[in-house]
Amino acid sequence: MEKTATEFVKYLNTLHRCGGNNKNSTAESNHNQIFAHDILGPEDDLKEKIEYDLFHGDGKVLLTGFAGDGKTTLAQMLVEELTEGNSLNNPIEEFYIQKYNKTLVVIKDLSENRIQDNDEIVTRYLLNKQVSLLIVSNTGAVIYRMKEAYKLLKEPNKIAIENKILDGISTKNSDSYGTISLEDIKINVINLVKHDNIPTAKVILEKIVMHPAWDILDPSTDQYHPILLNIKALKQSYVRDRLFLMYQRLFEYDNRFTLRNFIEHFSYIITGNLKLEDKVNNPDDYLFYNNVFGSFESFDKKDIISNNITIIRNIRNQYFGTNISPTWKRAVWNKTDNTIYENIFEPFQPYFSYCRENGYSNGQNINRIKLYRLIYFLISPSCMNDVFLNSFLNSPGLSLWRKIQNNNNLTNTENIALFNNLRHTIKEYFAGLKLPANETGENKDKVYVTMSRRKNIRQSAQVVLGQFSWVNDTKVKIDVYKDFRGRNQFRLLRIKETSNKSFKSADFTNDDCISLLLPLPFLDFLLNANSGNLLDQNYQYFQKRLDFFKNEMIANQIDKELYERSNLLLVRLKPDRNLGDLNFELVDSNNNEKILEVH
Amino acid sequence: MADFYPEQSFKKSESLKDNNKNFEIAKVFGSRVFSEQSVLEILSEFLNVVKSDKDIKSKKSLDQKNTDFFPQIKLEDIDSLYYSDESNLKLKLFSLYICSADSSIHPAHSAYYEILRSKLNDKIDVTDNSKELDNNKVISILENLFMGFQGIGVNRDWCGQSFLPVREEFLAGETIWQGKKANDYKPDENDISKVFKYFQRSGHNLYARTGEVLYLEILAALNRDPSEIIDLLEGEFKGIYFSEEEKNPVYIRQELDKGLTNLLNNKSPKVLGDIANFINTTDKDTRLNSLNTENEKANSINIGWIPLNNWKYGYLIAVEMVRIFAVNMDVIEEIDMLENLIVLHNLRRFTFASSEYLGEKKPLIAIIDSDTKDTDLKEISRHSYRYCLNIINKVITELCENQSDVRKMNARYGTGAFTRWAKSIEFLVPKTGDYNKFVLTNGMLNCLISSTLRPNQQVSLDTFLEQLKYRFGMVFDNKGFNEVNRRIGKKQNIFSENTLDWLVKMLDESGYLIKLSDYVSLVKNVSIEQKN
Repeated sequence: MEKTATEFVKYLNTLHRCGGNNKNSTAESNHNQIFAHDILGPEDDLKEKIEYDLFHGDGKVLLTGFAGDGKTTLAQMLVEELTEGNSLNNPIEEFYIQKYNKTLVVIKDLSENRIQDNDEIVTRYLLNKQVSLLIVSNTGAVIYRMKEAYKLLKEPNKIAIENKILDGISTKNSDSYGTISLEDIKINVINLVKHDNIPTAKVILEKIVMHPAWDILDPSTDQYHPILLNIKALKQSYVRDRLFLMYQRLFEYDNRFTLRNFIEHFSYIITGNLKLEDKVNNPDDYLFYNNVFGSFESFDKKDIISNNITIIRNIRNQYFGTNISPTWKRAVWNKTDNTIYENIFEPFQPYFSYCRENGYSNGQNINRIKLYRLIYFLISPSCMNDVFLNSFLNSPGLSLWRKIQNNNNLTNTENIALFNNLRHTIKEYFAGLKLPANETGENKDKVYVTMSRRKNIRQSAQVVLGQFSWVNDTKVKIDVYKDFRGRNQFRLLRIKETSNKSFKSADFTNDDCISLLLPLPFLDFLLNANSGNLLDQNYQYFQKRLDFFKNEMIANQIDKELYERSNLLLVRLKPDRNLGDLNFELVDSNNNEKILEVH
Repeated sequence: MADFYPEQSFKKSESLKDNNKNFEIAKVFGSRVFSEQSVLEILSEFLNVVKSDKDIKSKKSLDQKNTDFFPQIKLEDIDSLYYSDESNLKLKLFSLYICSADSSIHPAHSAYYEILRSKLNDKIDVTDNSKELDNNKVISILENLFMGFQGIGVNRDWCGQSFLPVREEFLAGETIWQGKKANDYKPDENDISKVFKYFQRSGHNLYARTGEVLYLEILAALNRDPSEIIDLLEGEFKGIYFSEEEKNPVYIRQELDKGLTNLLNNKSPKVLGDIANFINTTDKDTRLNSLNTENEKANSINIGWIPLNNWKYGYLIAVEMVRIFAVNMDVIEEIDMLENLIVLHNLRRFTFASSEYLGEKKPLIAIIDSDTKDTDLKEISRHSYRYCLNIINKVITELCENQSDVRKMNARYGTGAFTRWAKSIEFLVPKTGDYNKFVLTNGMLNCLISSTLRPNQQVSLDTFLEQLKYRFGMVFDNKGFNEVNRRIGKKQNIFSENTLDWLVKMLDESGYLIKLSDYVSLVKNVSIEQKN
């Protein structure tokens, strides 16, 4: 079969779930397709790691992850390489590996492989020091099998063995590697869930759009076919970068996708479930910037079929592009200003004009939505700015977050604005009182922590459990740290009251401070909270995080002074709209009686 | 002689059994577990016993005055146990008078309220006039502050209400204003000392002893031998996971002591308690706090009694409390969590003790998504609720000598209590109405996490659910729902899809869930550990 554009499109349409023929979505069938090897990149680092662990290391490897993460593909490739062409056909297979003069046993898909005495087989291979064992399976099945065999594996009970397995699988190393250490056995774990697959996905998309098949067109093919226009756009690296910024935003919000999910989405973005032979009346409905979000049936009724695609479903839940900044709206709809039009990728300018012409009517209009999407993906980098990106992707902290990914420091203005925003939100939450937007007054730099309130506690003044100075860079500062995936994230540091060091002290360590980690969703939540927008699905969780931080600050006061000190501090909102405190103290009077002194 | 202790309380109860229709029922659940007592009152009563000095008459050793939270003595060696309690009436009057039910306010209360404010006024010194304060404003701020700690009894008169137990000074025993009598005999009396006798302290109507039963169960449990705990975990409670430390009653006692001390003394400022005392004692001329009624031991309460066998439930809740105390949290959150736990424990006592009495399998509680439209699931949950009621009802029917009393006894000491408490924390919904189902609130989820896992501990979701099943009889998935069906004699099988999705989402949104693969998720208690 010749690798033409027409054939390539046919193949791509077997990778998504919109055409009723997604036969190549599983690794087993896709492995035999001629285009598969062109687009699926070898994960060399992982393969090398597995090979090393099998034949030089402890000899037992668990390769696990979500369905679609690429476990089977990876195992297939490895076996093919090690055995010069063999493939995996059975649940349990033994291979002699000449290179190492060792037997390799591969056990695949334990959950689908319900042979009665499986537990014993797995355990036997685990205990056999002579063979190299590769278990390719989802995590549940592994835990289940090993729990059942806890006695043979010399563990005291099921919970103990489960804890060890979970520790190994959930490792928070910056790579995806962990170890399950049992009494006599050490199993190296490669958990693809923990493996950052976005770089691999990037390579795959690049391979798809740069594939030579796109240059081999049937003479009858329409040169302006939406699929070809889509490829033209996606060949621009900045267009792909914007797509991946969207994925990154989803990823940071805990929407993790498997490689299968990515490939499915790429295929749909490119083809819109069309064939190259199809004649299309309304091509803009099939352009990639609309395909990213799934197809329309009408503006408010989303296409049910494309909703099957995991990434589309997740994107739709985020309502991207529905909350554009007013500055951009003004610029877009200003008829006398053509700057935006001129900066749109040229082949798509007619679509821009069409959507703008037809999007003037009042209220929500499908053309407005299309127009904002088109701008997001196709405006030249020189004309794009953070305000648009943040508002399009509903993430006020995104631009700052991107900055630190590239190891750039925030400007002084950005730093102060971020600090003030966070202080305001935290101060309101900790005090349990609403504060004016631009707080002034002597207590501006103080944060009061008061008792939690339940819905039925109503007090005009709150009992203060602790008060903390909140001046930037002296006791508190915003800092950047690397999370377990090796990505930079913001955090807020507050020096413990019990520490006498400053941020500039030479011997300052993280133990001298309490930290509030600010991954992107939480950062966005805090920034949104400041603008009164608290409608977030994770509200509970974020509240809890603030409570943890609060409790830790209280717990680290000097000598628990709060609980022993002789005065009671109340905080209330004063008539001048600033926070004020009141001190109550019991003192001895002249006649040996207590009096309550208030100041 | 059956195993019910303390013996003196039991014997007294036995001697009155002709008048006390609850007596036989109490032999299963303890004397007494009473539906009219609110959950906060159960907690307050429990804490009241914990922190009080105890006067113990023992069969084996000399009588002892004991200040321990949980004295080291076997329950079967205790002849009688008295504990002291305060009424804190002056503090209640000052703080709660203005939110008292109008109809119950007597002229003497109003008059004395003004006297209290005026006496307090004399003892306040505003030293900084720049804050535009005067004594009256300060008194109002204080009144509002303490009123904010109103815990229960919104529609009651001020003395029948309880504070949230944010410190030990806020704990007070039961006081009931006998308004009708007072209005009949002294309708226009302004002098509080003349209506003194209408404050009743010994009714056990609001503090009806359910908190005492909880205390006795834990006291009994903490004085068992470690080998008995191990036997329990290998026998009746097989499957329940306790760490090695948790199997040791000595460790549990230590940790409970620490946790309760923190709750009562260290989680809110000491001076808040001092000011509460200051208000309570500001007028030393009028005797109101230590009410002396016809009984000489007015301030000393003879505790109720329990079947000794129920110590095993006491051990479960003791371990669960210890786990909760290990979490660093605010006092108000902790009170909330303990209230949830107490409800779960009370429900567990009802279902476990009933099934043991009848020799039947323990009932299961089918918990479903509060928003589910699936009628099969709603039915299952409703059936599981009905089954719990049935099993309690069977016990009560068997124990009631006079069958005409069954309905009333159930309402007060059986099914009524089960339903009321479950509804009070929205574990059973709707609040009113018939089509009941078990659901989870976020507060309850927090409680289940913290009472199962210590901070930073993690287990698979399956193990977490398994522990909830063993400890409380809770089930969440098709397998469990089908088990419910088998228990109630139905052959139908439930094949609903994704019955766990809502729980997974809830755990995820609360930050407790880590997804490891399509099929395995970790449940981790992400709370921060309490440092002592």
